[in-house]
Amino acid sequence: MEKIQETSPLRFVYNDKIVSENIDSRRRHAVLFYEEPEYAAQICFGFVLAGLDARNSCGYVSKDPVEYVRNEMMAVGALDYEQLVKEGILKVEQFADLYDYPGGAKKGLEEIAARLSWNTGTGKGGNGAAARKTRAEYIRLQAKNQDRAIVLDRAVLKCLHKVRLSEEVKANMSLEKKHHTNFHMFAQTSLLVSYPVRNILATAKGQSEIYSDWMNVLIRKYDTVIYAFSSMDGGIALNLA
Amino acid sequence: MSYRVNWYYERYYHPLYDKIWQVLLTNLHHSLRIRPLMTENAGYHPHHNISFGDEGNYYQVAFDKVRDNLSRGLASVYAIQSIATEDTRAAVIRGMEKVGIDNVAQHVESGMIVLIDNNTFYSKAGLNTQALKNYWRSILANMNRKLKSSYNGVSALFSAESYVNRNLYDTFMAWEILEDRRPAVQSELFCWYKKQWLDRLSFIHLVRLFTSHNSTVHKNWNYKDWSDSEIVDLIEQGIERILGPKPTQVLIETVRMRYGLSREEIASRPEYFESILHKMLEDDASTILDSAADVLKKALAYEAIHQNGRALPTGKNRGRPSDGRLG
Repeated sequence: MEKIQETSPLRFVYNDKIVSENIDSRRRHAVLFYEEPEYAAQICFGFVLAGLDARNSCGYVSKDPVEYVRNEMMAVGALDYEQLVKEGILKVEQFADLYDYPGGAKKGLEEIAARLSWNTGTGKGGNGAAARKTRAEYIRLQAKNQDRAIVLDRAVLKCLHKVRLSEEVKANMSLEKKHHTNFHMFAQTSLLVSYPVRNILATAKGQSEIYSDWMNVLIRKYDTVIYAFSSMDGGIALNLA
Repeated sequence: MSYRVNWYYERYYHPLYDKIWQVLLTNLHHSLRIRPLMTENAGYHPHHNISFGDEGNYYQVAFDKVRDNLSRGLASVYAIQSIATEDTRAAVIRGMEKVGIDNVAQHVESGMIVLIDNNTFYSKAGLNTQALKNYWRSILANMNRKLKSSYNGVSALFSAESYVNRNLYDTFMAWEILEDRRPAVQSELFCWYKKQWLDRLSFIHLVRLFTSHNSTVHKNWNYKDWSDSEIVDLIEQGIERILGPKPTQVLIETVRMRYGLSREEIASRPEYFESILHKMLEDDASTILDSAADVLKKALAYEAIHQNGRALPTGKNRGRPSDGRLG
């Protein structure tokens, strides 16, 4: 019997399945549930590296220090990190937990969107000049929106929200229910949002009450789901929309 | 008890009652073992069954079945072979005589054996499922008129060959499902399949074969009832061959969470399940569905009725074969 590989998480991201097809003229948003942080890092970096290979602009936002992410990313894939950052093709940002963000989670999302954007007009917003230079064609296509920020092609939002305690899970569930629609800020960005789960299978089977409810909410909100079990057990990536 | 059932169906039929009655019967069969009693008392097995055979023994076992029916006072409908010409008709009668049925022509004359050309269903009903159903019911009614009270029931052997050969299996399947909604309790139906037809059937067809029949029939007339959960067990086995156990289980749970299709419902809504898999897995869905179909085929044709030897498969959550038997 023929075996298929395209559903394995790493193959899925390296083959750019997340960005393969737009939905209603917006890009796909994927959620990654993982059991091992190291495996999740491979998947998230894989998503970014596949984007860089395709000359997409990529963002990586996590609670980890930028230097730490830089080193990890360079360990996974050979890339000219400094040059890519300088050109505005790659943005790595550290971000505090959305749960505790001053002004609320919506403000936090706006802040993330701002950090993943550059301004095409006056140069405000960081790497505008470099971005214009390297992504001239893209910007020309966006000529009508000269004064508006353009977000990156793809981004990883990793562990922006604590989901260890039940209160945190409830808060995240509320965030996804209330503010997922605000993800239109990322309509032109392929997003990969990752969350740790102690036991994916038990949670999916509904054996973990609050966590199962939370997973259920996220499965209904996202366009793609990637389950990464322990690296020994692999996982599966599924399109939902 | 069976007479009460007949009376009930004829006077107060409602689709919901069928469902309730089937659930009651299924539970009773397993807990109180009343099915053998029903079979002995009424002289027939009031179920819609499916059996598979190799080309070589396909007709032989059917002839044996007709002989055993006669010994139990059951009239037989034999509709699995061509009798379009005198020669083919004579060959069928000779086949019956070879298994020890005396005076076949006399039984045909009396109405205890009804020979129907296997193409007649298509020529009479074509693509009209309702016509197919009506034709079958007219056969029963004619037999009832002719035999009056001199028989204990009807045992019918049907073939889907005329539809399978024309690639019109959907029509036959629609009839199978329609018939299942109102079981003909005065008769037992055996859909007499050849193993090689299985390769022409899709995943959806195969699931429907399980759900539209009460039992599969295996060696030594061993009946196996399949619950929806057991059918999904088979589908899962097929998916696991490709994806492995954990991914398969989260796949099934994701189908439930995102699309509201529970594990048990997969058996009753295979079309929806298939469309979801195509959405979730794109081109890879075909590989997975083929694998699931392969497991379903093996379970359907396992220990085909003419064979001797091993018992039924005993995988996870596999129910025991029911002990009802006939013939």
